[in-house]
Amino acid sequence: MIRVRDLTKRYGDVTAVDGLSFEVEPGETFALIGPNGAGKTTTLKVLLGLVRPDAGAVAVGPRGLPPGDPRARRDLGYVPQRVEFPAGRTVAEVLGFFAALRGLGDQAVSAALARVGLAELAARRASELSGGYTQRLSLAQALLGDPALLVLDEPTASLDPEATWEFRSLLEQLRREGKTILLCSHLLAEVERIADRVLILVGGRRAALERLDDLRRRQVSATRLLVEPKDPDEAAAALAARGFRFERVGDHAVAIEGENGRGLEALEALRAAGVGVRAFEQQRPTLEEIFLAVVKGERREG
Amino acid sequence: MSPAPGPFASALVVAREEYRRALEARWLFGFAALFTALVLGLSWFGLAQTRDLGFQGFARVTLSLMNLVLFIVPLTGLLLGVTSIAGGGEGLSLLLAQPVSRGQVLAGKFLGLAAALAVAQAVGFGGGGVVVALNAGAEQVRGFIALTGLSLILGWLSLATGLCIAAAWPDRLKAMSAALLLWLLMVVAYDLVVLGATAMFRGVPLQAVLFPALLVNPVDLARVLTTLAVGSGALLGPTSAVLVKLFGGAGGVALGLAVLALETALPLAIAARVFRRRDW
Repeated sequence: MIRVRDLTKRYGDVTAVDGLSFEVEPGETFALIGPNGAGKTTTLKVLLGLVRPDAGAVAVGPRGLPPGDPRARRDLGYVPQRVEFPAGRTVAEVLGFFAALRGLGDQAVSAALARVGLAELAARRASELSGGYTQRLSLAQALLGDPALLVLDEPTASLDPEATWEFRSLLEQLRREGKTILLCSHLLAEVERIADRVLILVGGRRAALERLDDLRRRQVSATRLLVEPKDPDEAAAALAARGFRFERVGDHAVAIEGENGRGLEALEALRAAGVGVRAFEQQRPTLEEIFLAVVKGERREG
Repeated sequence: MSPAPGPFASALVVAREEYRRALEARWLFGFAALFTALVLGLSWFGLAQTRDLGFQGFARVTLSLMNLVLFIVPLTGLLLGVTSIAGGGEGLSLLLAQPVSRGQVLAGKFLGLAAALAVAQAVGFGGGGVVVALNAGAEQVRGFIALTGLSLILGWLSLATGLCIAAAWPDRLKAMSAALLLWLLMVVAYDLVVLGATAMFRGVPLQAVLFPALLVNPVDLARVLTTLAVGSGALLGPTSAVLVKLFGGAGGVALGLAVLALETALPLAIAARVFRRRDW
């Protein structure tokens, strides 16, 4: 649904995107994440035909057209981070304009409003909607004509937690319906809930492209058990004798690699060896921490 | 999937939206009200110095109004064009991400705003003009109609120029600054430059300097055409004989209008080219 090959975009001396390649499969939910200035927005703008690449090839939609071709954008719906619709227009009028641009009529407007749960607010002024409902209206706009591909730019960045939860539920629904979704975000919680694959951008380059399941596996494999034994030397000897991987943490604690239940086995081994344990704690890195580790690693290499 | 609307249909959708937005912004109504007030005020108080109050005819109103119109209309058009694109932010990005070409978007913006300007000027001049005609008669209305028409063309011309400036400088502050500078050049500084040029080229026939100079600045060209339409060529000073010769006949008027049309089309064409190629 999206093919990007060796995409490069420069603004003067600054290279915003540097030789980026990736593909998004039909029906996939694909997340583009990265720190500020990573090149997410530039990549997104290239996909939307708003920015022309300096090098590389980009094709979007089921017909594989370049994004600068208006026909490519008929297969694509875009939800910006935040948009202010004209004051004084009703919800239906706002959608009516975007529908007319696609050659669609009132029926399409009603269908899109129903899909995002705004049918009852069709006559309400768009400027009077809450942030969450405004973003739903933006999503309804993107769904006009039922495009195969949805591109969302940090859609919940300015929403409160409840509105964020509701919006993510809508995205999950669309994902179940088989829409291809490209989500640009710096909120890993959002990505974690709906994405199949994650592309991590750092400094305009691809730092990692992984399935979210693989990221989670990495998360599990990085789980550690922090134990505070009564006698750390005795604990270290017992763990070494039984082949556990561990490291001393200060004078009083031992950190044991604890993936696949190994932490509990280590506790059992310590008990069997007669090593008293004052306290223990399981430590599992969040996806956020894994993401930061990738970013830091990439910056060191860069 | 429904069939894609044709190129003109898409541009018309954008034009309708721009037209509606411009009218909803209300300041265009203020613009219309200002012109009505100016027409009526100049007509009513025009003879106040001679202690005669009451509506007077179109000749004096047109000439008094002309200088104000040639000051205000270009500024209005420039700002309308600039603000329609520059600083458009996410709204403009969202529009450009729709299945329409940039040429259609720009054409739609121009058509919609041009129609809004036309309505505002028709209301402003038309409303005032009707009152003056009913009270003082329609004598010498030709000059007033010429001023109305030229004001409309000048509005469109400056609107196209404003769009061109905004396409080149999408940052609103930069675009506004460029527009204001251009406006100052057109309505104030240009005449000084031309005066300087005529002094420099002493010995060269006056019309060899004046003619190209007039064609380059649409404000001056509109002023000359209006003044000649009112039949007050003498007001143009010592150069009047030359100007009457150049623009007094139908051929001169046609040439003037053709130049104004070209000066509208050219910035619009440049705007379209820059708008299409720019990153947004």
